[in-house]
Amino acid sequence: MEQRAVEVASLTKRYGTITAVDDLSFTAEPGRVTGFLGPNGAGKSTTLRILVGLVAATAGSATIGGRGYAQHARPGAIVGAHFEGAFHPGRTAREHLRAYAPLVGASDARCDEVLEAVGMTDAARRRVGGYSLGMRQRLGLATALLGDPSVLVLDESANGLDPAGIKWLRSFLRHFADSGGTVLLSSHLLSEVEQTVDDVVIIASGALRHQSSLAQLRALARPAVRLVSPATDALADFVRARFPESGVIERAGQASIAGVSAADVGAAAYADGLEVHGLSEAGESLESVFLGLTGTESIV
Amino acid sequence: MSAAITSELRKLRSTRLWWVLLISMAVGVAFITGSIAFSFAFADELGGTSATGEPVMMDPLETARTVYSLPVSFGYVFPVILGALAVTSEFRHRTIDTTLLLAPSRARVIAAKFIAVLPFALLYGVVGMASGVAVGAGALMLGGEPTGLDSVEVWQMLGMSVVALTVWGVVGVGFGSALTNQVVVIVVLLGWTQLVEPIVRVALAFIEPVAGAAKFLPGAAGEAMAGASFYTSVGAGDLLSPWAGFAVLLGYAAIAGVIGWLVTFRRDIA
Repeated sequence: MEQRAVEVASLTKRYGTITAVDDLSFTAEPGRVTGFLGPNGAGKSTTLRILVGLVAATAGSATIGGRGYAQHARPGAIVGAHFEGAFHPGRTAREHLRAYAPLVGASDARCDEVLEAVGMTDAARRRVGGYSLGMRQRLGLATALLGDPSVLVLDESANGLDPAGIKWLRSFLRHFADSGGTVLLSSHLLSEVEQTVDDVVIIASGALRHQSSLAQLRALARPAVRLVSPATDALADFVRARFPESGVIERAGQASIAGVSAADVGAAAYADGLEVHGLSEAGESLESVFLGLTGTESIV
Repeated sequence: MSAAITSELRKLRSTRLWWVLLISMAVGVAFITGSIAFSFAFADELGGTSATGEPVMMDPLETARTVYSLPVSFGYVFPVILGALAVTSEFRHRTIDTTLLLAPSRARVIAAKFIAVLPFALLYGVVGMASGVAVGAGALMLGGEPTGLDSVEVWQMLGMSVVALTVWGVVGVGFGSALTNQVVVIVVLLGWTQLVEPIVRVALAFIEPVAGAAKFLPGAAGEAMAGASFYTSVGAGDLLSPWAGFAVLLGYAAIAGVIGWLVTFRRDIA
């Protein structure tokens, strides 16, 4: 498979006075699955739509294999993209694919091949209107694969998948990337794609907040201590008095305190006479690192 | 370009819309043509008068021609809706994303839709005319009027009527491109074709300085291609020549298509 990177450089998109994408730069490398993450409204879909030529950039550039999307002679054979929705409910999966097949020079056999690749052969003759969200996501991926591309651009493709679906998507994209493909997968939930991605690009309010490998993102997680007590009011008072900056009540009777050791928390609880039923060291969750980077407060 | 046309043909063929509309057209045209043909054929018994108060004293061949123009006068809404929905359903169901991803040239997508609607609209023309002529000729025969089906002139007119209905499908694609909201398009099309244009045509006929303008309205241009009109037979204005009507109707399609390209297709698809 020919290797093509996705490069976004100083990309800006303004709608009137609203800046949807703000001087954004990042790359997605061949052989890697890159998670493009951020809260709803962060500018993910807009960025991906600019990348594939559906939306015009105000400034900056977004290229695939060094060229803009429309500069490729047959872009559908280079880049496979899918956005949410995008199905006529009255068509079957096979009819949907065959309607687009001529545009990428795909045969009827190729349509059946991609249906099989996403495990949709049995549903191929059913109308899309009756599909579950997970089946639509599979058909979206099949549509993206139609032209046998080396780059996949997938908008929220893990959204609504059950754990088995997420596991399937992971192995599918892993295989695609291992054979030299580039995958850019957007999601508003890190937890949904945490098992799938190699690299992360995190944006908020249209601007880049973080880009690294997933391993480097994990390294940002601070150690934390989980404290469980049956005295819920006393626990809340204790956390407020002793760890006002770093402690949060996760739910009644359970607190999480970041950046300290279990020994420190245990000693303080003993000194304050708090009844403790559980005391354990646990890393800060990756999700809370993500929420911290995007500036969205954890609602716990 | 041929790939884009094949793609559009497959899109049209793979939903229920085209045959549901086609059956509706055959039934609707038969009903309207039948009702009016019977009232013409039995005008003597019913004591019918025209809109101007004169007794209906039409040349029998003219009566037949007017009856055979009814599928165009009242049936053109079906191919026009088919054409419009070929564009608007892409926006309604967001399939426009995939369409433009795989065919980034937006002008080419519109052009492919203009061409792909032709065979379908032609089928609508043939079926609509067959339905109208079968019922209309039957009614005329029952009323003892000549059917005119032995006249070459009538057959030429029927042929042009099929072409007129075909062109209406193309106008629909232009209209759908200019106004991509499906609900708005359906409401505007039904309102315009069933209510506004008929009223405007009748009203314009009575306003002397602008009386000539009515024949340039799209519905009148379509009827001009058929060479006869229920409206003109009841005294509401006159018609252009068939080929002038053809040109005017294509003009509407082209203008709508260009507006669609400028207004919608050049914009961001977000």
